[in-house]
Amino acid sequence: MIWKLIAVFLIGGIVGLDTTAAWQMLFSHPLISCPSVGWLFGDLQTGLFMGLILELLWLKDLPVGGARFPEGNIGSLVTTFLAITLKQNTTFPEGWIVLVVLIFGVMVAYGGSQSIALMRTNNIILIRKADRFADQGKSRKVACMHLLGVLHAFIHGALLTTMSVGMGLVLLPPLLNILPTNITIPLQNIKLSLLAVGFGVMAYFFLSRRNWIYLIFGIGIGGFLALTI
Amino acid sequence: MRRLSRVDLFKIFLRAYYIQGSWNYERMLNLGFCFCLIPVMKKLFSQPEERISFLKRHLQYFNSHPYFASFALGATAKLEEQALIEKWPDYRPVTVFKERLCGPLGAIGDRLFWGMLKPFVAMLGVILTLQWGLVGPAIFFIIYNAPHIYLRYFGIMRGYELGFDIVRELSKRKYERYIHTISVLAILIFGVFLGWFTIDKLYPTVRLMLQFFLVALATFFMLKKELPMFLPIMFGLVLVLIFSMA
Repeated sequence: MIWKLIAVFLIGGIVGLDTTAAWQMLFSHPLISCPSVGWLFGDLQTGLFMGLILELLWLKDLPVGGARFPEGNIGSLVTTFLAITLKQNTTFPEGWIVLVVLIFGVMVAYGGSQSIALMRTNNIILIRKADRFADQGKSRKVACMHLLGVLHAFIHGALLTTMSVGMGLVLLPPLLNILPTNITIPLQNIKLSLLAVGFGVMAYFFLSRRNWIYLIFGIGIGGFLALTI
Repeated sequence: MRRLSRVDLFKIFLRAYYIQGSWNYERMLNLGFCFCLIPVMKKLFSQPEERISFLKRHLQYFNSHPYFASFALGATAKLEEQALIEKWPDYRPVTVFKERLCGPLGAIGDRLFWGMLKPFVAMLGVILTLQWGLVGPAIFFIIYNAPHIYLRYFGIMRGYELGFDIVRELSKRKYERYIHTISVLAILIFGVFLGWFTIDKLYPTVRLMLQFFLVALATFFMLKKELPMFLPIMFGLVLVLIFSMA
């Protein structure tokens, strides 16, 4: 278990960095990070499933300017790791595990947004120090202050992920114990519902009075293809 | 007279990947911007007073979209070089220029990348994953990062080439064309998927079709009302519970 937590710590840090502080090449997004976690922990299928249903959910809140946005990437990572671990180590039905970890992941994502604000406020300390080093002409130390900011973002992501995973591992099994797990929750239903939320988000992004005609045209083509192929 | 080389610009390009590393509520990207331009300072200025003045200049407020910041970085490097060669009496035009660029760079970048390209590629990735599994994430990664990396590199080179004139390059109208094209393409693909998915997967089970469209429509209207994202997610999950129990 210890090596798994170390891996979660490192992956959480990298996801935290890619979300805003560095690269932003989107490997922090659920569609890539969740299958990677699944592959690493021996359940690629669950990883891919989680990536698929979670990818579109967090796109609505854009990381612009000083906006506070839910830490959806870390929430998704935590969700995937917990789903895989609980599936491998407990006997609870899969549908219930997925449902409970998804709700937990949403809570982590919203909790994470508060901690981002804290991190960005803390970065002001680095700016003050950088100002002082700039007054002395020490460019290397100014660069170090910036790199400390990058390290800060890594540690933020890593700690948030590891602590959330730890909390999930402690809290969720007792919770699952008291739920009516004799009722079957089909995974297909969860997938469909969250894909529907995702496609609602896409409609919010793309649908406008100017282009609804393209939607109708597209639906026509899609329906025709489904009927003929 | 010292001039910046392609290697120096490439160093800025590499550093620009970390421009948001020390994002803060006081001066936003200032330290990141300064960090990216340190190779310029090392190349152009050797006197301690010049270096102090350079660092202080670039620790002023700066904010932009992280990818589009490349244009500002390239152009600022050019202006620093120009000011030195032409012996400008002061560097105020450089600072003012940087401040003026913040608005357009942020507006275009946020709308083009965060508001259009990212959701479009994510939607494509999800559709492809539904059909072909792991091909989806791979295509998602490649399609998004090809223009992203190109823009970061192009921005620095073009900014350095044009200097002050980079402002003309950043006309909103030009990018509005790209945004419109992506949105039409996105809605068309969205429609094709919806049509195919409804007939192929949902139509056989009326209950599933009802659930899908109920959640999708509820999400759309909740987001139009600016409600927080967790509400549609919870609505979707509660509906799963209700349907399962029923």
